[in-house]
Amino acid sequence: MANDNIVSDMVELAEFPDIAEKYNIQGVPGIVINDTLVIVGDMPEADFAQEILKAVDKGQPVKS
Amino acid sequence: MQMIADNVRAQLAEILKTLTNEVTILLFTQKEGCHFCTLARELLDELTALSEKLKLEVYDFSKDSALARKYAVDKTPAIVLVGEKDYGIRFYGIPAGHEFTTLVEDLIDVSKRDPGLPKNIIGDLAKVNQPVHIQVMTSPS
Repeated sequence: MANDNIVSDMVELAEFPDIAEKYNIQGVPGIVINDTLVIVGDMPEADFAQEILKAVDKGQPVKS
Repeated sequence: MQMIADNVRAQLAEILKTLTNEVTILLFTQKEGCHFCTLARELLDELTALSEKLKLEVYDFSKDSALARKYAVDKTPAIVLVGEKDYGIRFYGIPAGHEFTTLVEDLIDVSKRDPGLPKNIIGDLAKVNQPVHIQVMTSPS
């Protein structure tokens, strides 16, 4: 809600086992940001915001 | 089958009195191969009956594929929460157990048009200048 660039899905793994397999989810909640599993378990909001920013940094093209 | 027990229903009706603006819940279902679509419909029917601020719109994933694409919905049951705009909040699968609480909290946030985050976090998230897709994997509880 804080930024229109951010979309968030809650995925019920029992109904979508193929997704659990795709990301090799061993525990819940497992949080995937831009197709990479980054967190298993709970984390404070501020830390999670930093994880989002890190994911954005990684996604930027490398400048030559 | 009644999905929301009477005592929970009464509590929920009280909580939903705090809703300020309308929230539209879009549910995408399909006839074939969606074991939980009917239950999701029943749950949302019961939930939306508890507040005039909640509107439920049910769509067919195949027949309404253009709308499904618009909301980037790729599986069913899919629940999309929309306020005065789409905030990018989706639930895939039936939001029962703990996920039901999350759904209600999200409905309240969307109704307020406010994610309820501290200012410093809002400031950090404002820096996000490219698409971010978060998927929170949960299990029934």
